[in-house]
Amino acid sequence: MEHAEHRTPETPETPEIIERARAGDAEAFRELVESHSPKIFRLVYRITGDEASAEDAVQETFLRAYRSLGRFDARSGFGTWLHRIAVNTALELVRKQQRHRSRHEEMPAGEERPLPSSDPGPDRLALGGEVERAVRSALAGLSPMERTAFILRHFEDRSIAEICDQLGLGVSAGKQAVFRAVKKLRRVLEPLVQRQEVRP
Amino acid sequence: MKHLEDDDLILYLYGEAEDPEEIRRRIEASPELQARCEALRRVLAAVDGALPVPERGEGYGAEVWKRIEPRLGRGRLIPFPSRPFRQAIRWAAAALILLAVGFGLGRLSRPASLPQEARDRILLATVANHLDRSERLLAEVSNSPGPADLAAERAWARDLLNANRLYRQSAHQAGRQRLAGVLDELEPFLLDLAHAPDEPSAEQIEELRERIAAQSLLFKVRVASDRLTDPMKAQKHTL
Repeated sequence: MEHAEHRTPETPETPEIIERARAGDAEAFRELVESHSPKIFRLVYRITGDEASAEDAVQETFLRAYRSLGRFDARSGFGTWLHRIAVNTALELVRKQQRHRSRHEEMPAGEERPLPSSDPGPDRLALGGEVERAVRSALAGLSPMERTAFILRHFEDRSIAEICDQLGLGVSAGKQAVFRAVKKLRRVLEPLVQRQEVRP
Repeated sequence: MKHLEDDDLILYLYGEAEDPEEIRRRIEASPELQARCEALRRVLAAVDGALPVPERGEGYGAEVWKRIEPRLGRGRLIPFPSRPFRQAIRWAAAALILLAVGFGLGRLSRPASLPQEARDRILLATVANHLDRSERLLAEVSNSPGPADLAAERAWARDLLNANRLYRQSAHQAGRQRLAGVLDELEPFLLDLAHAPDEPSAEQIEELRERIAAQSLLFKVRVASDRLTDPMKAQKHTL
């Protein structure tokens, strides 16, 4: 399967930087934050679907990583460990927003407060093509777990086994989440893709 | 030969099919499969470029650091315990665990002397109880009239979910693959129900019900539960 992006290789950290960070060296932790931030942003942006939430998730990821550094097993890669924290942080954020949104929808009109949404905003609508809009809308229709599993499989090139491990799912649950996501996307995208082919 | 489902093709396209060579051969030999596979491939390819990530500049990492540094403790990190100190903590924890295990073993020494068969019966009765509760939950979701508040069912599902993971692993380790399979199928449903909104839309509830029906979840759980508690009854189900 050809993807637009392939799994980014692990940023090689010297064990020395990690050990220094664990020992409380702010400079060492800063180095880790600076080198991993862009990758973590790409990941959580795709899971959350909007920039503001992604920024929150990036910060929360590093705060959680900092608090858990003492439990980090140096035998596994730091990037892999951080990836797992980021995935779960973003997933939690999306779930929280969803719960908030469902409560918020019941509020009287005057009390409404805008929420980060996975739906395309006016700028995106203007810039994006028909397929991009359809993909965004289809992704917004997935459950947080389906969306995250799909993002990990499709964009992050993680195997089903890795996805299950990161999300704490059984193999069947992990597979079903990806299958359901692909089928929902297909329902929305197939007519568009066919139409594009018919066009000269 | 098993009919190739879209799920098999999805796994194949992602390079995760158990026997990719066999699937490739079957696709090559069947125009119908070629068309299905190609349609899926085109859909997935369309997704590739359709979710651009906003650019972040060179100094992005430094910006993130600036934002989180004050939240880490006024710019100074609190050192984690030194290695010898951590080692000492581990030893102390290990000693505590040994004490607790010793205490537990002492208390359990009588039940442990029960024959293996009796211990299996106790375990199976526990799993049967879990399946029974799951069955009631599935029936509740399937039969509740119209849009409903699922708060109680969500809490129920959360409660069952953790137990389900444990029982699935135990069944797998004990070689009870059929039971492990049912628990494995039940898990994603419990997971999604546990994380459903408090007051889901009619559409979301319908989707949950459709899943129960499409996967014959209620039936499978009922049969598995009967198989554990009353093998004769289970046989009638499968006949």
